[in-house]
Amino acid sequence: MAEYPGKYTDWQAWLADKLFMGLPFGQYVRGLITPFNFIALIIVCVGVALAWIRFTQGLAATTNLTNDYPWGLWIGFDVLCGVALAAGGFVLASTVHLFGLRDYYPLVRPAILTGFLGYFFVVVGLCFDLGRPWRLPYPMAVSFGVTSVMFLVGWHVALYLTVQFLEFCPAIFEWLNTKKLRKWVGYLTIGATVFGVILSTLHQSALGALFLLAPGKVHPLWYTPWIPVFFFISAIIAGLSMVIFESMLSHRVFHSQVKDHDPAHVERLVIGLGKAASVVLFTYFCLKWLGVAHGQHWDLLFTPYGYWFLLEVFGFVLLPCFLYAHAVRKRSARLVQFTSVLTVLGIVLNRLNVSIITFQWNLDERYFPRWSEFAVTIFIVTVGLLTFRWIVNRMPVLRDDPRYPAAH
Amino acid sequence: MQTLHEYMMATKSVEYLMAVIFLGAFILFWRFASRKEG
Repeated sequence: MAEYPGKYTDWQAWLADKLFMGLPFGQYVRGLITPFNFIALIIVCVGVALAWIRFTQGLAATTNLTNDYPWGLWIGFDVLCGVALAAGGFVLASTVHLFGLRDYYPLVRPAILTGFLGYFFVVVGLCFDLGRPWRLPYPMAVSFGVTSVMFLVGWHVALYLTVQFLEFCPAIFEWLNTKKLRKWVGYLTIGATVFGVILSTLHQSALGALFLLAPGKVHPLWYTPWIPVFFFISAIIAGLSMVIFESMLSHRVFHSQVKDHDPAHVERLVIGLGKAASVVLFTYFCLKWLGVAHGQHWDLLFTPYGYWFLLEVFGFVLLPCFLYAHAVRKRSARLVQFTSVLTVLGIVLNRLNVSIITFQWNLDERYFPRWSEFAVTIFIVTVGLLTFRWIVNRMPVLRDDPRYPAAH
Repeated sequence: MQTLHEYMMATKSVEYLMAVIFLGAFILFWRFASRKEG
């Protein structure tokens, strides 16, 4: 713990150490003055103002949503893409704790943190769309709605947030140095991981199942009874790619925390994840074509939406599949990292295609998000990044806590 | 059903055929991804 000149009491010094990373308050505040933080402040101020307008004046004041397009960017990107990209938590947790590939342990905590914050801010984005956040617990206790897929999604997100919090608790208790709690929560890891995989399998596919209710509204090339399977498999791809992408960014931004990591070891892990992603991408590519065959929609491939479908499948599924495979053969972590960006964009494109771009594809009037919808989305992502940074700077996520050497 | 095409469309045998082809392609892809260059 940092030494303070005698003006602080013990609990104040402890709190200052935890919040200000052992720095005097003035020095800590001066350290916050950076170009990134300045831009983030502007984004947060605009976001807070738009949040006020949305919650006081309603959706019409801040969105282009209509009765024909009740779901827009906040559902299509914040919820659907957010949940898919947060899948790295259950993928890495099951890789390490269930499949026993302990080499990947250094990536588990960042993945779980990314997953936890991802789901948390998905709920924040959902609250913007719902408009009455105090009613969020209604499916839990007041009005279940068991015939709706949304009932499953609501319960699962709530339970999975809890599970991810429990999985991240070891890092929190190491930070707080509460040995007994750290020990007890460690016993929950396997059970939490198993429960998390069960939950994720269901709710990742359930988000796709929501669109089974709209067969005439989603374009036939994207609408298939296999949508739940496609959403689950693409979530695994998204999770693996986000872990690769996030580890690349973290190693650059938090360089001081990872300088003791063996770069060759990290590269091996990244290449291993790239191989897994390439195999799952190939499987997904094959299943997409089986979906087209099942629906017998070959003639639709030669329409504008068909070309868009071909772009998604060949440019953002097959291409990253072969790029990953090529990178694995060449042992090139850099190419794996580049491909992860392409893959993440592909998953985002797929979710937006299903929920917005090809939704109500046969209507003349099309939906395009208003600037305020983009601004709120950027606001939510920015707050998520700031939260991630706050936690990683303080808690043992990228680095080990020397007081708990046997934990790993 | 008069033609092979109509028969295959009716029995969805195209999907089974594609599944077999994809399984073979998957095996080839796995071998491709597992081999190291150099």
